[in-house]
Parts: sequence; structure tokens; C-alpha cells
Amino acid sequence: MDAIWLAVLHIRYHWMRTTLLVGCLTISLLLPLVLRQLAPKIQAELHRRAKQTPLVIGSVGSPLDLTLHGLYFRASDLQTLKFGNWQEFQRKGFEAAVPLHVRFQVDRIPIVGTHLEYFQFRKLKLASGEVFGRLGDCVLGAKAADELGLNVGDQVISNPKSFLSIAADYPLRMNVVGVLEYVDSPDDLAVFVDVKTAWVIENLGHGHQDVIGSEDPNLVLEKNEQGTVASAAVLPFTEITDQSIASFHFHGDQSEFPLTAILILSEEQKVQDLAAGFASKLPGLQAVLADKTVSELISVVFQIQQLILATVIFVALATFSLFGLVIGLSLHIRKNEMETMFKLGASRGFTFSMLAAEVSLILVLAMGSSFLLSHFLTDLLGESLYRWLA
Amino acid sequence: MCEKFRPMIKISDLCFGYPSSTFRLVIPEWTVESKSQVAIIGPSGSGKTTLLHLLAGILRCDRGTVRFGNRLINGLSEKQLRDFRASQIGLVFQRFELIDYLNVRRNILLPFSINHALSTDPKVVNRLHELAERTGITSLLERPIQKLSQGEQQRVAICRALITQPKIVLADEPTGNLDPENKQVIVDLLKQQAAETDAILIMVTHDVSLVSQFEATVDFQLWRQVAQGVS
Repeated sequence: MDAIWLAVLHIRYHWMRTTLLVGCLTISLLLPLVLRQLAPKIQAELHRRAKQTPLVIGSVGSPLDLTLHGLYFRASDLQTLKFGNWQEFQRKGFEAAVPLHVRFQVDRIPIVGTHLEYFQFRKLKLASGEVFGRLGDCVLGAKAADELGLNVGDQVISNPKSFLSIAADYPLRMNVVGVLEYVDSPDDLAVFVDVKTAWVIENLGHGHQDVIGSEDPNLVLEKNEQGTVASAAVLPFTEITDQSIASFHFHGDQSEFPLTAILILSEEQKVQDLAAGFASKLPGLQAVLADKTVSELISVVFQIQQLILATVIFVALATFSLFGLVIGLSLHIRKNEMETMFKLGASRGFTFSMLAAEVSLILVLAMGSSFLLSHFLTDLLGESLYRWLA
Repeated sequence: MCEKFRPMIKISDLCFGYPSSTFRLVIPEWTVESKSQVAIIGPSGSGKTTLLHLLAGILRCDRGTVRFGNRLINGLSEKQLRDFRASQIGLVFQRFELIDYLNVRRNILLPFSINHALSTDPKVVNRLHELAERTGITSLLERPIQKLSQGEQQRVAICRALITQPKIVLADEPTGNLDPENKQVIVDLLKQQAAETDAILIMVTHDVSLVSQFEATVDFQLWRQVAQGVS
């Protein structure tokens, strides 16, 4: 007990050296611990989400990009597909096909344009309010509401495409009509809107001042049998209100309007197979089995993880060698102290146990702090996992 | 024979050499009576410190005997030697050899922390305060060692040597690192404390001015010459 007490007094007295040693050892232990704890968590999450979203259909390109886009609303460089593609799935009787349009954000939170069936298939429930019923309505995921500090009745503005846009690319102010229950999935960190609202944000649909009934020469360039030509001075609405909603309209054929993916949210294998087969017949489309893609991704990640671990072990070995060197030098410096203790009646075993206690205490402190820190970091990274994957 | 003159330390036919050196310490016969205060002088490397280490059981002689009372020191096991050293010997070093991470109180009580043959009881704490008072360091007991002057550090070292109430105090050049004023204070203190606790005091010194203050003096140069047959 006295040996341990003396060791405690020694490391307390040399607290800077102790802190440095504990810090170095903690860092070298931390990375493998975090990797060890986080990797299974990521794997489990990827598989869980993939099982909930068995088939993702999108434009031809990287299957991984498409999968992460469909599962985690990750921004994708893939070409868009047409709303008409989804309509074809509907006509073929694939009720579990849900459209997805994810090209905009609110702060860093994706705006997910979809249909109400998405909530049904994902089994998402409202914590408050109601689902979107008209253009400009949005439903917030639980974490999105929390992070944006918004609730039902509040308004939220989409990010402009570009701050440098000179083409009057206005962001849209949306009404928060509902907030979803927390479900621990990427749906918590999303702003859900009807796919048509997403098109409005994309400037495919808009509302503006009434120019048909207007005689203002600043607003009307020309009126003829074919219609009215408005001037650039006509301001588009940036908010959909009771007054302005009637003026909102879409130009062109909606079946040509863009989607970023179609999700087949049926658990039935037969439906998935048929949908994949049908997608392969449509030009420019691909159907991706999410779980298969995720497994491939995990195997690559696992190889990288092994590489990182090997590097970390090498670094840890170097750190522990340095630790040994420091302890060795410390012993050299403390030779007189040990000799004095021996002369005063201490056994060699006592001085050895004192030193062993000191080394053990430093190791225990390093292991304890790395263990606690790894849990803290794993929780922290785990919380932002969906953001990280998106 | 009165107690004062009862032989306490008796060395007979002692011979010691370090394995890696040609140096040999040879002492045919040496007796130190109880309560004696002896100064040992001699040139560097003549074996003064070696003799103290042999008396303390830190070193074992190659030949001959070292007795303390009726006890044969060089016949003791390692553990017995450690216990003997902890309980019967008080050591004072030239460089004080105090432990930097312990405060004054813990330094003085160190022998009780490192050897389980010694047990701490309320008497020890009383003795600590008594010694601190006598050596004038009562107000320094909770202070870190680095904040003490050289003279104060040597007082702490003397308290540490005396806290176990040793029968022999072995001081190895205790004034070697001190200024003249502190030298005399420390020698007076050692002599006084040893006298008050009835302990034998054997002090190695290079300072011949201090020798006259001791009852007996051993000059190692002469001793070695005698041992080597030089008249």
C-alpha cells in the first residue's frame, strides 16, 4: 500500500510529465478503440437501412452513389430520371415505388421531395401537426426540427442554389405543418416536402403577380391572342400563401420533370425482382440492390480499416517504446532515490513494486481515459452518422 | 564495566574489496563503545564510506566479522539486514538524499513507509514533533523539500535518521555541502541528538577543524598504513 501511495505522490508531483505520458498513450489507444466500436455500428446501420430500402432505381452511373443517395439522401452527381419513369412504375402496378427528389437543402439538412406514401412505407409517425397537404408545406424530421429550432406553424427557407445566381433564383419560404417522431434513421435529419414543392424550389413551377388582368406597362410587354408577355419586372412569389397559391403553376410536361431516385419500399422479394427487371428495360435506368451494394462498401471499408489498424498498431508500438524509454530514463534519474530507499531499509522488491505501481497507474489512467473518450467519441460520431453518410 | 564503555561495535580481521577494483579495506581490529562519538577522517578513496556501508550492512565483508553488541552483522540474511538497518541504524548523507516529491513530514517518516518492520504509532508522531522542535523545523513540516535551504534540508535528513531511535548514527560527510556557519550547527545538532538518544555517532568528514569536537578520531590514512605494515 505504501508503495502505491508513494507512486501516486510521485506521479502527482510530476504531473506535467504524467499528463504528457497519459496523453500520448491515450491517443495511441483511442483510434483503434473508436474504430472497433464505430465500425460494427456503421455496418449495422448500413445493413438496417438497406434492408428497409431494398431496391433503389436511378440513372445509370455509380451504384454506390445511387444507394447512398436513396438511403441517406446523399448529394449525387448522377443524372436525374424523369417523373414519367415513376408514372410507368405506377402504371405497371408497383405501388411500393416512391419518388425521390433530393437536390436542395435547408442549411445542411436535405429537402426530400416525395409523396405521402413515403411516410407510410417507412412507418413514420407525426409527433405533432399533420402531413404536407399543399404546395409549400413541409414536414420536419425530429432532429431537423431540433437543429433548426422550428415547430409546427413556423417557416423555413430553402438554401438558394447559388449566391451568385443572377437569374433571380429565389429560395422558397415553406410552412412547417408537421414534425415527425424520432426514429433513429436518416429520416430524422430531413425536411420532407411534396415532390411538386421541390420542383417549385427548382423553378419549374412558380407563382407571380397577376399580369393577365394588369394594364401596367412596366409589367406587360405585349398582349395578343396567344397570351400575355410579362416583363422581367414581374416578381415571382417566394412564399406560397393562401393568397398566392392560386397563381402557382408549372410550365411544361410534368412527366419530363426530374426525380433523383425511385425507391421500391416493398419487403416482398417478388415485387423487388419484378421492379428490378422492369427498371432494366427502361433506357438509362439502373436498379440497385441496396444491401448488396452496402456489403461491397463494407468489405472495402473493412480492408481500409485493417490498413488503418495496422498503421495504428505501428504507431502504438512506437508510442509504447517511447513510454518505455521515458520510464527507463526516469529510472536512471531516480537511481539515487532507489539507492537511498534501499539504504534506509527498503527491499529491492519494494522499490520495484513502487515503480511497477507507477507504470501501472499511468497505463490505467491512459486506458481509462481512452476508454471513456472512445465512448464519448463513438457516441458523438454515431449521432452525426447520418450526416456523415449523407 | 560501566555502560558507557561497553563495546557496541566490534570489527575483527575485516577485509573487503570491490570486485571491479584493486582497493581493499583491511581492519584488523576496531571497537566502538556505546554512546561514543567518533570522527573518521582520511583522504578520498581511503574507504571511509565503505566502512560506514559495512557497519550498516549495506555491504558484506569478504572476511572477518562485524558485530553490533552480540549480533553478528555479516551473518544476517538480506531481510534481517534490512530490518536491522531500518531499526538500528540512522543514516545521514552528504547530499541529504531527501525525496523531492515528498514534503518534510513524509520525508522524515519515510523509513516507516518503506520497511514494514517499523510500525507507525502515536509515539512516532510525537517523536516527529519533538525532533522537529529540537532541530527548529516545526514550521517547515508541510513544506516541499525544494523550498528549504541546504541547512534546513540537512536538519530534515538528521530528523529522518533519528526518527527510528537508532542505536548507531552513521553520518557520511554531512557538512560537505554546507557553509561554515551551517557546518557547526549541523555537527552540534548531530552530537546533541545522538547524546540525547544514547546513540553512537560515527561521522565521516574531510574537515579537520571539526575533529577536535569528537571524543575519538580515526585517521584512515594512518590506519591503512598500519594495516599495510608501515610504521
